[in-house]
Amino acid sequence: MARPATVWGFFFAALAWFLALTLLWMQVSAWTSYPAGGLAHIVLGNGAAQWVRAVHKEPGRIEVDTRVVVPAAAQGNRQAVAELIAEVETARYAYGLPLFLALLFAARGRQIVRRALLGYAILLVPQAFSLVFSILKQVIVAGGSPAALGVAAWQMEGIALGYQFGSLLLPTLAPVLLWLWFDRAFFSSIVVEGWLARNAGGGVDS
Amino acid sequence: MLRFFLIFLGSQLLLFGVELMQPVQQHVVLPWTAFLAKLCVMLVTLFDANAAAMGKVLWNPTTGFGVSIEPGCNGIEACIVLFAAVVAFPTDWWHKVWGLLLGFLAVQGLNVVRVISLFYLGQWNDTAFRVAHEYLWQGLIMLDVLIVWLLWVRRASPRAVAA
Repeated sequence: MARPATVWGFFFAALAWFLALTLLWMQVSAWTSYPAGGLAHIVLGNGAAQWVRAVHKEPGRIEVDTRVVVPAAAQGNRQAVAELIAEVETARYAYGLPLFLALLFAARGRQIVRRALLGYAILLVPQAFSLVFSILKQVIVAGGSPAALGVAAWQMEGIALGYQFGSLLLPTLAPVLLWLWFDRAFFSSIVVEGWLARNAGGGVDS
Repeated sequence: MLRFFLIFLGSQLLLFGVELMQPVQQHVVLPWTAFLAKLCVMLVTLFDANAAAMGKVLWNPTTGFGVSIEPGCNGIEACIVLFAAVVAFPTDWWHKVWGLLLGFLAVQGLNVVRVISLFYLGQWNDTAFRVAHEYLWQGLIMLDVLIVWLLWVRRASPRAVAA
C-alpha cells in the first residue's frame, strides 16, 4: 500500500478513520473492553485483596464488592452502615483503540492486521491500569482517612496520582505512543522528507 | 528512538506531577481555566448573546445549561504531552522554544473550539454531548498534538539532531 504523501494527507486520513472507527467502536466497546476488565479483576484481586471482597464482570461493566464500610441511610434512630460497591464502565478508558487503529490505517504501513491485533492486546494493559485506579479512587474517596482504610497517606496520594494519570493522560497517550513505536519507519520518512524539502528550498508542510 | 521515548516519559511524568501540585493548581491551572471560560464567552457572545462565564463554568442563563471546564478539558494535559515531546526531540533550544509557543497556541486554539462545541452540543442533545465529550474530543485533541508535533519535527535542524 502507498504511504500518504504528506503530513496533511496523513492527518485527514487519520481524522476520517478516527471518526468512522469511533462510531463503530461504540457499538462493540462493551465486548472489546471486556478483557481489560478481566485484567483489572486479576490486579485488584491480588493487589488490593484487603479491600476487595468480590469482583463481578459483565460486558461493559466491572463491579467490585468491597470490605470498606461507608455510612448508609439511617434506620430509625440508628445510624446504618454499608459496604461500598465500586463500579466502572470498562469502555470508559478504552477509547484510545479507535485512535490507534486510525493512525495505523492512515499511515498505511506493512502488516496492518498483525499490528492491529498486537496493538489491541497491548492497549488492554493501560486500559486495565485506568480501570484499577478508577476503582481504587472510589474506595479512598468513600473510605475516609488512611487509618480507616489501613494504608499510609503516601499510598493514598499514589492512588490519587494514578487515577489522574490513568484518566487524563493514559487513554489517549498510550495509543499514540504505541503507534509511533510500531510505525517508526513512517515517522522517519516524514522527518527525512521534511529535511530534504527544506534543504532543497521547498515547502516542508505541504 | 529509545532515548526519545525515555526523555519523553520522564518529562511527561515530571510536568504532570508539577501540574497536580496544590500551588500550581491554585495559581496557574485554576486562573487559566477561568480565563479559558471567559475567552469562550467572549467568542460565543460575538454571535450569541445567551452566554455567560461564572468562574470555570460557561453557561446559558436562559436555559440554565452550563459546561464546567474541569481537569482534562482545559487543554493543559494535552500541552504537557506536546511539551514533553518537543523537549525530548533532539534539536536546538531556539527551535524548541518556538515549538512550545506555537504548539501551545495550536492546542489551546482547538481546545476553545472543543469547549464551545460542547456548550452547544449539550444544549441540543445529551447523547451527542456525552459521545463528543467522553470519546471524540479526547482523541481529536491528541490527534492535534500529534500533527502539530510532526509538523514541528519536519522543521527541525538535521545538523542539530546529528550533534
